Amino acid sequence: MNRTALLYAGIIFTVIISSIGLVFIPEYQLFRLEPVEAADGNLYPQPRTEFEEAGRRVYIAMGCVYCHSQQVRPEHFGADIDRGWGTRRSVARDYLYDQPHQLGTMRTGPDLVNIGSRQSDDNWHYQHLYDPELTSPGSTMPKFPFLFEKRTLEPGREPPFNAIRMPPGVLAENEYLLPTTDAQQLVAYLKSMRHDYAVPEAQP
Amino acid sequence: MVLAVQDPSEGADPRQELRSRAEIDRSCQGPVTLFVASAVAWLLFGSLLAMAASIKLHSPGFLSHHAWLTFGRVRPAHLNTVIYGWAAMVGIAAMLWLQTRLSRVTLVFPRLLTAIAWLWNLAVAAGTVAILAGHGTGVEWIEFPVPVALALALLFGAVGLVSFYTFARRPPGHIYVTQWYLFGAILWFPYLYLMAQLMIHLGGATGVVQGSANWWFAHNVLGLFLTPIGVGAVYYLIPKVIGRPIHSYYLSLLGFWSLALFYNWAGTHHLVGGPLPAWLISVGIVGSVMMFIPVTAVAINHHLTMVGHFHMLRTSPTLRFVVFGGMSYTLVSFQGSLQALRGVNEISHFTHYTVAHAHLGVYAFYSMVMFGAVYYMLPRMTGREWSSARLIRIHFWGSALGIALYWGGLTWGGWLQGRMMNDAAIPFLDIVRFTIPFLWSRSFAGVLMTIGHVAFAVLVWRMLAGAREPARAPGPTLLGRPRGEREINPAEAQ
Amino acid sequence: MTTNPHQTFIRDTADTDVEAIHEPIAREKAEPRDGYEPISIWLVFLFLALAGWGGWYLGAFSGDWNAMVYDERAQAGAAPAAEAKASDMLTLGRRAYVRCQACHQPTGQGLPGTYPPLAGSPYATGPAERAAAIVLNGLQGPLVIDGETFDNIMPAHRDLMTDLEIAAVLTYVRQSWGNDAPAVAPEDVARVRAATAERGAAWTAGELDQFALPEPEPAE
Ligand code: HEC
Ligand code: HEC
Repeated sequence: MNRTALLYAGIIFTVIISSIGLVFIPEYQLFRLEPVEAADGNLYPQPRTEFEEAGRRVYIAMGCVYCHSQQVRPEHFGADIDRGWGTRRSVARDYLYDQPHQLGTMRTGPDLVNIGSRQSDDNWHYQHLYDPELTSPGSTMPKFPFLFEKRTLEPGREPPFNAIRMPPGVLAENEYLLPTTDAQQLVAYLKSMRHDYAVPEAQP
Repeated sequence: MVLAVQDPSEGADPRQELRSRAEIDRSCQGPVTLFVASAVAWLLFGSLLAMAASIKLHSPGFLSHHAWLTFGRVRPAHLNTVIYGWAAMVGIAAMLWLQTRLSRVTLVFPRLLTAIAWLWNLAVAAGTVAILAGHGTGVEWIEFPVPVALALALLFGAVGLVSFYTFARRPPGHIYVTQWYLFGAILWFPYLYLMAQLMIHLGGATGVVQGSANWWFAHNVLGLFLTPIGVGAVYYLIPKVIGRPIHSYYLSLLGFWSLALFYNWAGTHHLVGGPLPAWLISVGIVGSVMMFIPVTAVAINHHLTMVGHFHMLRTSPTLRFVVFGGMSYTLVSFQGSLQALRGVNEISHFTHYTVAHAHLGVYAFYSMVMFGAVYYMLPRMTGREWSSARLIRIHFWGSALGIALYWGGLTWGGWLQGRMMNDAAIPFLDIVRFTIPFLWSRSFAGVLMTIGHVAFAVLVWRMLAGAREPARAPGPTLLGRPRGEREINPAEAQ
Repeated sequence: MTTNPHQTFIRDTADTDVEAIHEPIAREKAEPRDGYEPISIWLVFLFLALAGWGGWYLGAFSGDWNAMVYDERAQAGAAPAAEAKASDMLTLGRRAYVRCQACHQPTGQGLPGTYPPLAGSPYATGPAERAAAIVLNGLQGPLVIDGETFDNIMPAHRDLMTDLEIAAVLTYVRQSWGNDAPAVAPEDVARVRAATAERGAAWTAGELDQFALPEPEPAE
């Protein structure tokens, strides 16, 4: 092959065409997507609060995406719905406010896109993040002790109202555990993750 | 300054040819060995991170008390150091050297390239520290913060320009197939990297389209950056070592252009079943399956070139690594094409099966070819021989057995994991427990591979530092005695 | 450019020296060249067949290239294949149990000292309304099950689950792990939901022991 110009042109052409096909055309098709109005009169998906958005950044900084996906596959495909990870498949509209995306490609742990509709208990999340084996014996999820502050109790004092309830024996008698702001934000984000509204394009 | 020589096939004076090659290799010496040495350092560091990440998956208590070392940071730090540290730097080294050799001109701007190598190291280091500190972007394969990524794209662009300039000064003539692939890598990568930054981190795309952009990019890092360098190197090294022309120019053409046409489109197979329009997924699947065409073409071309020379695998280190890599390329690509099919993907997606597949590509194919290339390049640039055939053997067997165990264990375990996940009657934690022995086998495989890397690093170190002179060994370091000869025949070069 | 060291190297050294310093280069074979064997016709057929398959696949599974079509089997005109939606209460219940299992565990055994078991629990298998009330409003304070004391808080699920889901999950709980109690109907849950609508707080074990639904308002 001696026609250098042809070589260069072919190389550049093929990659540009593919970026148009896989990125620009989908963007053109989807950038006008809007939230849907549900029966309760609210628009879904709902934008996250600043606090929840900060939690999402903690989620990213801790690399939860390397073990948890955020997408429910359809009924006929895998057992996502059968496992209760969602009641319908996920669609593009559900991700309107995600920047950057955290779709994920690994399920060392369960899918989390509906974790907010199945686990609403802050205390459970704190226990689980502090040491996953407290709630899920045999779990290989990492501990995140650095998201918590261990404090010592003055003799004769009660732990504050926001101390985390722990199973007996995990902390010493005179210790209590507080979530850091990062942990509070992270859990707020987890609780906000719900795809349990109906969207027209995912009707069975 | 730039020395141009005629094509030897046109009956040039062999002494003249020899001199020009010596000249070319000399001109590469500074920058190319720096790229190689840096790459090897990143390989070692990346292996360390890999071991940590691997152990954490079956023993989560390991190094779990610092945010810096949490799994979600060590794992992307591993990926980015081995891709942008090891794979990219050794790839650039191979690219520069192959380009000068095939253009028959000396390397231009060696000092600029040396500076680029140092800056590249700096950027990868900064990016890795950022990830460990929690400032990674959380988007797979593009975790480096935007400024680091832009710096890398820019530096790579500069390498590309040098390569073009080198090429532009060549005497007119045929462009060998390796060079087509090199131009592919040079032109594709900066576009991919910049576009990915733009669409994902700089607000170009919304929601799930970022996912599409993400995998368009990430799959193409392998397909349009590492693969062309790897395949290009195989195209050079096999005929070079065995001294025989490439089987068919027409197959080369078909292989190259069908790769350029189809590989681009394969990325969305990473999102099968996901929240993307059906057509986008289907396009990715078709792109992946069509990869049968370039891969078959290349596999046949390489195989028919090798036929009759397989006995040289016993002696030549370069050939052994390169042929192992070339065969893995066929295997990983066929596996990938099948894996994209919806029926297979339903099981393999989200499991360790995919992880095994990725390593078959980047390690068993690409890295093995690059090891072979380094075994070939360095003696020519330094004028020294490899100091120990035994260390080369340890490297080869550590890497080869390691990756075989890695792939075997996780492919098998991952497949079963996927089948279990698709059966809702099996509690999730049972699956977690089930995978643990397979994860142990991966850690063990990692140890083997790391042993290989250490042997490799020692060899490179000795060669570059001249720690164990002799500047001039009596002949090439071979792995065994060539067939039917008592003396080592210098013609059976590395 | 006489200062270029490479240039000097070439000019000033005898060929023998070049060979000596670059011995590895001296022994290597010529730069690679191309052979020109033709491509097998079978290979061409194979590739054409693959290309044909690709075209067919794109035609058949691309949902008319419409971004609102997610099911690859849906084509213009043809109604999207209706999914066989799970309808029996036990399947629905098993799916909904994902909301309980993080605490009560997939085996229904709970975790000692923290989360009480549902297997063999009188609260799970007792009156359906009482069980529904626990799920709707949660439960807190000391609680004795099978001789073991728990003192923890179960959150309310009123806003998280529909009547159907609660009925299904309770049916599942009441009929798994050796439990054997009658199914719960969504209407039962609806009644409890209505009757306890004003109640914000979680129940306590003491309250539950005397649990009775307020009499429904007599119809006009
Ligand atoms: C090494 C992989 C890994 C990482 C990293 C990881 N997890 Fe997990 N996660 C798991 C596994 C395994 C489980 C299932 C067992 C369990 O419940 O602990 C799990 C379960 C969970 C669950 C419960 C899901 C359910 O359906 O009940 C939540 C919530 C969760 N993880 C949140 C997180 C968050 C938040 C992060 C990041 C801060 C994170 N995980 C990081 C592996 C991981
Ligand atoms: C966040 C953890 C959590 C979740 C989720 C949860 N529970 Fe509970 N549940 C508890 C705790 C804690 C108690 C005991 C409260 C106490 O100590 O007073 C309890 C008590 C109960 C009881 C009464 C005691 C017993 O063991 O029978 C029932 C029945 C029950 N839960 C059913 C359910 C059902 C059904 C679900 C799912 C819809 C569910 N729970 C979800 C934590 C949870």
